[in-house]
Amino acid sequence: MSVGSAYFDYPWRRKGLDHDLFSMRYLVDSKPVNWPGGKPVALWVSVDIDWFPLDMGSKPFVPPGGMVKAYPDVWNYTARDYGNRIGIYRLLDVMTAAGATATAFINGEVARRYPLLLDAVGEAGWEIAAHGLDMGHLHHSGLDRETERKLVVETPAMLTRGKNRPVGWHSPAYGESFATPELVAEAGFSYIADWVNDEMPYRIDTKAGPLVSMPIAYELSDKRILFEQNQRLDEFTSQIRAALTTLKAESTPEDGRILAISLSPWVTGQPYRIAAWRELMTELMADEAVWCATGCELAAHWRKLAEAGAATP
Amino acid sequence: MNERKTTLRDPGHYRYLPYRNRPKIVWPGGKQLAFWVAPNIEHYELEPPVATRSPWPRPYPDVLNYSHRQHGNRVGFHRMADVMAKYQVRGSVSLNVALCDHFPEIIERCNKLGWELFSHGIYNTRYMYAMSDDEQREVVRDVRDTILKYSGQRLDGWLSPAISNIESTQQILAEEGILYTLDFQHDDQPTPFNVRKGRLVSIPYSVEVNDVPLYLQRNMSPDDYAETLIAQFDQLYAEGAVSGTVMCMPLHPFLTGQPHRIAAFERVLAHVSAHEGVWKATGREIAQYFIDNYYDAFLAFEDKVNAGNLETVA
Repeated sequence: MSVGSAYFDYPWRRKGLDHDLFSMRYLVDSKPVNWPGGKPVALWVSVDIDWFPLDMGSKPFVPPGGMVKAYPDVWNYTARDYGNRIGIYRLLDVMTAAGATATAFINGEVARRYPLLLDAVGEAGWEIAAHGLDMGHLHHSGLDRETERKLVVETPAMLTRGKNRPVGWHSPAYGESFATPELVAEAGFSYIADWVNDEMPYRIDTKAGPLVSMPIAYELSDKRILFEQNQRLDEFTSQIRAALTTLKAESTPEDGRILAISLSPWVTGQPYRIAAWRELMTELMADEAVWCATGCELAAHWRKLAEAGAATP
Repeated sequence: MNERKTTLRDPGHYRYLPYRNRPKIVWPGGKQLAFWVAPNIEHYELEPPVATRSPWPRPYPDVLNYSHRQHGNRVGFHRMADVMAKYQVRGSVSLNVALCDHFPEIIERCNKLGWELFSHGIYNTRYMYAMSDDEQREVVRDVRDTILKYSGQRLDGWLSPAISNIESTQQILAEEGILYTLDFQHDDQPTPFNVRKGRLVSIPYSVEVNDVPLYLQRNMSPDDYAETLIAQFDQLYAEGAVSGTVMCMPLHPFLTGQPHRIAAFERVLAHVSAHEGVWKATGREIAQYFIDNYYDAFLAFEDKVNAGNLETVA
């Protein structure tokens, strides 16, 4: 019995991280970041607008919400597509009524199939950002570079409305290959939102230039808490309230934080859930400490500070 | 040690010991419950080698799961440590020791807070499965040297990385002079271990009220977590009046240190701290106190209750 001597090689055992993509940073040691709204907590709601192909298969893994029954899994296909027909309009109405905005991470295929949906999101004033081609095209190291490059380049072209080209990227199911950040930078994006290791932006360095890594919500998402973990609706909203309480206690107008929440129209856009979301959104928007912003606003502000040496990368 | 050609039907490390009529434990100062908190301060490698099983559920790089765990070191650790300091609770750190090299700032704060460091292997992505005895000794040596270098502390405690210990691990720990192990979940009190050389005790850890199983496997909300831990405490505290019990709170800063969970953690510490009969200890202190005061009595009681029983020896 032996694991072999190579198992005792630790090539990255050094000060700092075990890769060169970005530097280690402790949030407590980071320079304070003041938000343009003058409020301590920036509320960043991101909405995944997904399309799950009926024939998406299961390689290299099935993302949450993917097809899991025998083909044709119309049960799951249509339950997801419900979000694009019905749920998203409920979310748009609630956010508009609350005077709130959001970032929509949209699969390119949604824009191609449902241009009316893209228009509705654009007209609501939400940020339109890229979420890959569709939920059947995951980014992973099994893809060759050219195939992945094509996905990264084609998606924003499908989402461009007039002169508004997306600047934010969120990979389907937070999946990346080793090449994804570089391809995303090369395609002209300014921020990427896949790494859930921080609560404030930081810088990712790629051969094609820097990206801002935005602290997208993973745990505080309806996909995670309601769909995957089967918690109750009031447990979802109470955890958001608890996070806000913590972040308010840890922040000041001069040293801001981000409360990131991620939603899916096919989850929170259900009739029995939307009232709880309306109530929470109304409460958040009435909070004196909260400034509701989009991902591109937050990333651009942070990037400006970082370039001036006023934010810790 | 020879390699085993067959599998065991039980681990063989401990004898049967009924909860009733054991020698009475009283913790220092007449306390009835030894409470200790074990933050698992870990690093999971982005591209670990695979000897037995892959550490990541997704193809490398598993950006989602890697970055989720990394939150603990970038953000969650300090939030969690602040709450512990507020309630005068010292941590006993289940440490992937490579973290000393990667993130020495975290170890500096642990040292300042007076926390114990014990072994959780090199990385949480390097398992002990299928290691030879010499390979296991090499892990012990590395851990011992690294902890000494970065904290000046002696290595006294052992939780195998991802609890990947094998049949021979505990024998090797005893030979290497380790005081206590946490790989076994069979009791609410310290117990002696059957080892051929040296002496080893098992201290209650917990996979039952550990934040990973509760939050990631049982999918609990923070409120349910707090209620679970408080119920665990209340029962063990009551039983501790009969004979001293141990309650461990195993933590992972990437879960407990999240903004939506930290209040639940604080609620538990506030509840525990409101009880007079609690000894807030470290793993090392519990092990040493048990060895000094109760080890022999427990061994004698084991002999008595197992007289005539099937003997299980590793």
